[in-house]
Amino acid sequence: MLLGALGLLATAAALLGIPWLLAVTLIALTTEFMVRQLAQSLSAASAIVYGVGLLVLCETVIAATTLPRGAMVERTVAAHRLLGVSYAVVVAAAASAVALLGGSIRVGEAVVAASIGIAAAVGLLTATGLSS
Amino acid sequence: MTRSVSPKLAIYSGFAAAAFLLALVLGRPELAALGAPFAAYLVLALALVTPPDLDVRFCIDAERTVEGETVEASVEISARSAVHEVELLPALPPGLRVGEGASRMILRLARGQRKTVPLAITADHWGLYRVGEVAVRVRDRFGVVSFDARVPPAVRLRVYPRTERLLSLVRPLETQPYAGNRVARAKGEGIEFADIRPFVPGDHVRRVNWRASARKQALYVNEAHPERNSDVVLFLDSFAEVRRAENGTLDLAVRAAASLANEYLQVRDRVGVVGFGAIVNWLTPSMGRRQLYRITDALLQTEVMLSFAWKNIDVLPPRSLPPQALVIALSPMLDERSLRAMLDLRARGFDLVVVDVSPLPFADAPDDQIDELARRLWRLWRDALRYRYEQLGVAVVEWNEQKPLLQVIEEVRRFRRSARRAYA
Repeated sequence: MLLGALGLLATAAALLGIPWLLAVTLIALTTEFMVRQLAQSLSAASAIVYGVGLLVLCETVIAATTLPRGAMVERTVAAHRLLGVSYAVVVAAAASAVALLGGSIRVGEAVVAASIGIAAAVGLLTATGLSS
Repeated sequence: MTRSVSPKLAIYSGFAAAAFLLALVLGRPELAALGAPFAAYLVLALALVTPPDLDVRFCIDAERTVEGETVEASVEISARSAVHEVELLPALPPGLRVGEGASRMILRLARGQRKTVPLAITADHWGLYRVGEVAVRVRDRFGVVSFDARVPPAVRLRVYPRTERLLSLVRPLETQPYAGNRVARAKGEGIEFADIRPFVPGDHVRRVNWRASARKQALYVNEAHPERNSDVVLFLDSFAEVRRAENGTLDLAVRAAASLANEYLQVRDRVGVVGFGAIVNWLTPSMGRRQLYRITDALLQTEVMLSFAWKNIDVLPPRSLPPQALVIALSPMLDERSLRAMLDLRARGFDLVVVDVSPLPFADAPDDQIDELARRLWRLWRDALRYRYEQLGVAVVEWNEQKPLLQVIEEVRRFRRSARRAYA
């Protein structure tokens, strides 16, 4: 509960123009979720919804801080931002589900699992570097 | 274009990496489920980034305007590839501001689309400006990467000082030989009756004053004062000024000079300008509307620059100060060089009027008794200085923003009526 309050406080501060405080929000709300997960053993869907919710929260806060005051914003820009967040929600939900499915695979050895994880991370970063 | 990334790239990637690592270490797939949306979002966003290809142009309807007026301008933007979000921020120099409407615009352009954003620019202060600088920021579809560019200023905008309508002017003591609207003291051809004199061969019959001729039993003709013009030189002291925020003594002096030039040129006088400061510039007297534009352009370039070089009026070419010209000096009476130059002008026989653009309203309010005393001493010193000029027959009138220029002119006229009797 305390962590959730801290997360919301950090969100409010981020809305005032300090986007870096979103990191505090994410850490606090994730810890809060994990505490509840350990205590109550929530369903797998709740993790997906919570992850997507965190992303939407961050996107909303950043969108609010990047829209300058007194600016003339075209309707299509606002609509396009909403559309972008909608795409992101779909992709994020899919990614979250894949991650949960991946987590259910039992590799056996922790070292092997870590190696697969590192290889996946390197592959992801390489793909990112190539695309940019 | 400069490429930069949003803070969310670091936040999201850091969070996703930490979540994945903790998921591995703790063996909790829920943590991976929380980090995965952020990782997927970043991968998607970075994969779709393309550098923008667009063209931004700044257009303005008028090259000239007057202080306080608004000029219509526009920013034209065209995109050769689709731009999801482009932010335009026209950067105006101090003295200009965006009038009505937003100063910042966020648009979206499809491939090959062209858009024009209207912009109203209000000129708050006279000057010569270079406008057209526009900061452009293009964001990608997800706002992770942005591209920044700056369109350099390319358009010149002249903002002329606002002028005050003057119902009367300081009348020059002497007129010039050219035709104008002023009644000369000399007698000759004209409309204004001056005197009668005996007829001499060559006089026009229509000038015979029949009533006087009948009374005196000899032919008498009317004499008239011819209509002539005068030379007026506006002597602008730009050695020093006192400034507070947007306004200063030089601004007031330039506005007054523009008003006087406009009014004297309307009555067909020849008007010239001498800018006497660290940079000396001049404009020989001439008449007409073109001269008004020349004078105003010259006034726009007037600025105060620090200089310790001693200057006197010998640096000015003789044509800039024609004999028998009325010299109206607009000075804050702060710099010894300009004070000496004005005395020198009087000593050389010029008809001199000094408008003392008072620096007192621009000085800081006194904080303590010492400040108050210093201010009083300064005021006394300025009074003594004005008295010194008045002793030489020079009208010196203190002027500040609260006082209409017309009142200054009336004070000068009143002084000159009495001074002519006292010092003639």
